[in-house]
Amino acid sequence: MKQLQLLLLVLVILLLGSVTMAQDEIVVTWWTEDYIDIEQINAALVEPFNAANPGIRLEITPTTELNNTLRTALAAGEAPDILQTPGASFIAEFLRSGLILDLADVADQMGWEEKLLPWAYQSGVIEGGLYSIPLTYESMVLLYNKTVFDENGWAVPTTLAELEAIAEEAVAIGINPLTYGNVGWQPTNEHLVGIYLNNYAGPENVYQALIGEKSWTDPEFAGAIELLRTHIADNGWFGGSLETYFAYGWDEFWAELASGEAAMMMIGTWGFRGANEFFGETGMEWDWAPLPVLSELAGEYNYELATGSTLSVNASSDHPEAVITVLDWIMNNKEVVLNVASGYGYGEFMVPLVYTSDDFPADADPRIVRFFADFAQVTGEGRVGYTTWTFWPADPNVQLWEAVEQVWFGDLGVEDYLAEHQALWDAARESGVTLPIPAR
Amino acid sequence: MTNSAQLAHHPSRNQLLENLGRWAFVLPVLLINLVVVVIPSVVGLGAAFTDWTGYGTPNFIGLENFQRLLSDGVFFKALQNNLLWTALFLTAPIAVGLLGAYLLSSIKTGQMIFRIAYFIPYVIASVVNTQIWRQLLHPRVGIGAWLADYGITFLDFPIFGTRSTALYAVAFVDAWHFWGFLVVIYLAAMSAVDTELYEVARLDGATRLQQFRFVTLPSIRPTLVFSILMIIIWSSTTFDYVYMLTSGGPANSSELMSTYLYINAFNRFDAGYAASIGMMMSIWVGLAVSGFVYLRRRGWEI
Amino acid sequence: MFGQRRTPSMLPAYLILILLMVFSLGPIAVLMINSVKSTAEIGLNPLGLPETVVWENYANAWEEGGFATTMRNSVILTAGTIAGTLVLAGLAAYALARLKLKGAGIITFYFLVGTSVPAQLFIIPLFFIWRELGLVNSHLGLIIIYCGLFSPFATYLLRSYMVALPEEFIEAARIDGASNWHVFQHIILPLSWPGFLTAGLVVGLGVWNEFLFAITFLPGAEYKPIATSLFAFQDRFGRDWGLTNAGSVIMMLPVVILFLLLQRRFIEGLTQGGLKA
Repeated sequence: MKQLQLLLLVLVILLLGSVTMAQDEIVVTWWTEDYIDIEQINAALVEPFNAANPGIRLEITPTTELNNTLRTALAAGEAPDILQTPGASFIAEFLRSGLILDLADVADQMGWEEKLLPWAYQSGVIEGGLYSIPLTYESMVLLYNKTVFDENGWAVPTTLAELEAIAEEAVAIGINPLTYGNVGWQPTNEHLVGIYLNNYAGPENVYQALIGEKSWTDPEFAGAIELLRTHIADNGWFGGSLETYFAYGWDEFWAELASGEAAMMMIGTWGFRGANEFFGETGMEWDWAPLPVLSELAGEYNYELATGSTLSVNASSDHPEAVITVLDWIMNNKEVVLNVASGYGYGEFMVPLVYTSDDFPADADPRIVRFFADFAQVTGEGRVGYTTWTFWPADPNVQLWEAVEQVWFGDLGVEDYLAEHQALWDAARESGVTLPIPAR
Repeated sequence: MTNSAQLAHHPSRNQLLENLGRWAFVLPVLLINLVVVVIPSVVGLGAAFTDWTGYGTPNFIGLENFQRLLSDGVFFKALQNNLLWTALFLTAPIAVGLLGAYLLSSIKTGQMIFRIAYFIPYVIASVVNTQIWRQLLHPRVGIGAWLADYGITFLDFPIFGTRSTALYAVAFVDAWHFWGFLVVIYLAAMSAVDTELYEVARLDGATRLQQFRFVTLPSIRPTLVFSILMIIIWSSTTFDYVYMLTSGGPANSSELMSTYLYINAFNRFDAGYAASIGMMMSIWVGLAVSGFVYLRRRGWEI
Repeated sequence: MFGQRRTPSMLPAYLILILLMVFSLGPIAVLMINSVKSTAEIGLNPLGLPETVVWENYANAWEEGGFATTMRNSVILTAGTIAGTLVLAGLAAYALARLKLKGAGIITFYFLVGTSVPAQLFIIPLFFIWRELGLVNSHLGLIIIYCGLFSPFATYLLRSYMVALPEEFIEAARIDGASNWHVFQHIILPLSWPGFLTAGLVVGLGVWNEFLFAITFLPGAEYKPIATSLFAFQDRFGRDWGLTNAGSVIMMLPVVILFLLLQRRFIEGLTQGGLKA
C-alpha cells in the first residue's frame, strides 16, 4: 500500500510539474505549405530560435491544402498564431474580417522598416497599419538557353526590336522563341499579361492606373495586351502555337527550354530552381537577364515586385507578444533566413531583408546572387514594376487572367477586356478592397 | 398466432407496427446522412443568399446571387458542358461496360486477369491518371506525334489545348478511368442471373446477342438503372479530371459548374456566389432524377 | 479439354476482351515504366523506356511519402467504413428493395439529391458540428462521416441487387411465418453477397483515395491518410513524377490485392451458377 501511495505521489508531482512547465513555455504555432522540408527548417530556424528564446517554443507544421485548411480553421476559431497566406488579396480579406493584428506600433519600436526592403515593408501597410510581412520575394526575368544563344551568336535582347529579331531567326531554324503553359495553374496567364503591361506601357503608367489616376482603357495598356496577343496567338511564339500553351505545364515547358527546342522563357525567379533541375539533366547552360523593354514608354529596364507568401499575426492569438518575438527574431537573423532559403535555391523563405552579395554563402549559384544584387540596386533606384498577384485586388485579378484567354482566341476585343477590367477596379475601390501600392 | 389472425383483430395498430418495423431498417442510414450531409448542406447552401467571402461574417442579400447567375455567360457555358458530359457518359461508357461485363461473364478462363486489368485505372488516383494521359497526348512526343511519323496525322495537335477538343479529351480520360467501375457492378449483377434462363434461350436457338437482349438486360435492369442515376449525379459534381487537365480552359471551353464554383469560392473570395452555383447543381440533379423517375412511371422501358 | 470444343465461338469474345485490356492497361504500362525513371528524364522522354532504371524511386517514395504511417491510417479508415457502411446500407437496401415501405420514393429522391451537393459547400458547417461533438482528430469521427457520405450510394447499389432476387424463396419463407429480420439474415444476405462484395470494394476504394475530408477532420500529422502521401512529392510548382509514379503504384497495390482476394470468392460463385447453391 505504501509503495502505491508513493507511486501516486510521484505521478501527481510529475503531472503538476509538466503542467506548470507547459504553462511556462508559450507555444507559437505556424502552419506553412506542405512542400516545405520540415527537417531542414527545424534545424535551420526552429531550433536556433527556441535556443535563443527560452520560454517560447516555435512549432512549424507543414499543412496539406494550406489555404482551405486555414479557411476552415479560421471559421472555427482554431487557426494558428502565425497566418501564412499566398498573398496580398488574402490580407485585404483577412483585414476586412478582423482576423489579423495591426503591427505598426510594434514595427516602429523594433525598427522593422529599416530591416526590410522599403517596398517590402510598404506592401503590408494598409491605411497606416502594418498587417503582413512578406515571407518570400521574387521578380520576373528572362530565362534563356545560353547554349542555344551561343551556338547562334545571339545577344540577350533588351528591346522589342531585338526580341523580335531573335524570335524570327529562331522560328527560321525550327526553334520556338519562347515557351510557357498554364496546365495545372490557370493563373499562369497573369505572368505574361503583367510582364507586357509593365514592359510596354511602363511601370509609371501601371502605377498611375493602380492608384486610380489612369484608366486601364488607355491606349498604352491596349497596346500591351495587343502586343502579347500578337506574340502568343498570331505568331505562336510561345511553344509553337496558342493551343500548345494550353497543353503545356511546368514539366513540358522546362523540358522544351532545357533541351534546346525553345530559346527563351519569361518567368518568375522561382524558375531558377526549375532551370537548375532540368538543365542539369540535359547538360545545356542557362542564364537569365532582365526582361527586354517593349516600348520607349517603359524607359530603362525594371524589376517587377512580387511577394510570394506573407505572414500575419492571428488576432485571436493568446500570446501576440511571443508571436511578434518570432517575427522580430527572423528579421534580425539574415544568416538564418539565407540558410533556410538556400535549401530552395533562394526561391522560398527569402524574406526581403537588406542583403548584399557578401551575405550569400560561397557555394550559392552566382547567377542567383547576381539577381539579388541587381534587384536590390535597381529597385533601390525606384525602377520597380508591379506583378498582378501582389498589387491587384481579387476580382480584377481573376478577370485579368481568366478573360485574357478569350482575347487570345479572338473572341473578346481588347477594348472590351480592358473596359471590364476597369469596371472591376472601380468596384473594388468602392468596396475598399484595394491593396497598398508603395509610392514611387 | 399467425400474422393474418393478428391482422383480423387489430388491423391499424398492426400495420403501424409493421411499417415502423420496416422503417427501423432505414432509420440508421437516414440519421447519419442527416447529420453528416443534409444539415451541413442546408447551412452551406444557405450561403447562396449572402455575400459571404469565405471569411468573416456573411450578410444577407436575398436573391442577388441568383440574379447574377442568370445573366452569367460563363455559368451557362458550364451548364451546357455539364449536360454534354452527362450525355457522353450515358452512352459510350455504359455500352462498353455492358459489353465488357457480358463477354467476361461468358468466358471461363482468364477471368481474373481481365477483371483486374479493367479495374486498375479506376483504382489509381486522378492526379496520376491525368498525368499519364497528358504524357500520352503530349503535342510533341506523344501518341499523336508518333502516329504522324507513319502518316496518321489526325491526332497530331495539342488535344487538351484546342477549344473544340478539350472537353471531349477530358471526358475520354475520365471515361477510361470510370469504365472499370461499370464493368465491376454489371458483372456482379450478371453473376446473379439464373443460368437456366440462358440454357432455355440457347435451346430455343438464341444467338449470344439475343441472349444478351432478352435474358441479361432485363435481369440486370435495376443495376443498369442505378448506374444511370449515379452517372447523372456524378457528372454534375465531377471536378478532378477537368481541373487537372484543363482547369476549365482554354477560354472556358471545358468549364464545368464545379470548376466555376471553385474559381468563385477560392480565387474570387465569393463563397456566396459559389454556393448559388452549388445550389444550381443540386437543382439540376433533382430535375434530372425526377424526370427519369417520371419517365419510368409513364412506362418508358429504361 | 472442353475448352478446345469451345474455342471457335469464344474467339471473338477473347479478341474484344484483349483489346479492351490493352486499352485499360496500356497507360498503366506507361505509369510503371515511368515509376523507375528520374523525374527530369520523364519530362524529356515521357513515353520511352528508361535510360537508367531508378529502382530507388520506390524506397525513396516509401520514405518521403511516410507510407508506413499513412497506409496504416488508411487501412483503419477503410476497414471501419466498409464495415459500417455495409451494415447500414444492407439494412436500408433490404427495406427499400423488398419491404413495401411507405415513402420509399421520397427517401430515394432525398438520398440521390443529397449526394449531389459539392463537398466544398458543406464541409465547413460539418466541421463546426464535428468540433462541437469533439469528433475532430479521431478515426471514429471520420469513419462516421465516411459512412454518412457513402451509405446512400451503397444503399442504392445493394438495393439494385436485392430487387433482382427471385421471389420464390422469399415467398416460401414468408408463408412459413418468417419475420422480416429472419428473411434478411437467412435469405437475402446469402443470396446478395456478390452485391455486398462489390459495394464493399467500391466504398473501400472511395475511402482509400479520399483526402479532402481526411485532411480537414484529421489535421494531426500522425493521422494522415494514404492519399496525402502523393502530396509529399511536390513543391510550389513542380512535382517529382518519378516518386509520384512509384508512390501511386505503392498506393494501388493493397487495393489490387484486396480485389484479388475478394474476386476469387466471387468467381468461384460464378462458376457454381450462383443462386442454386
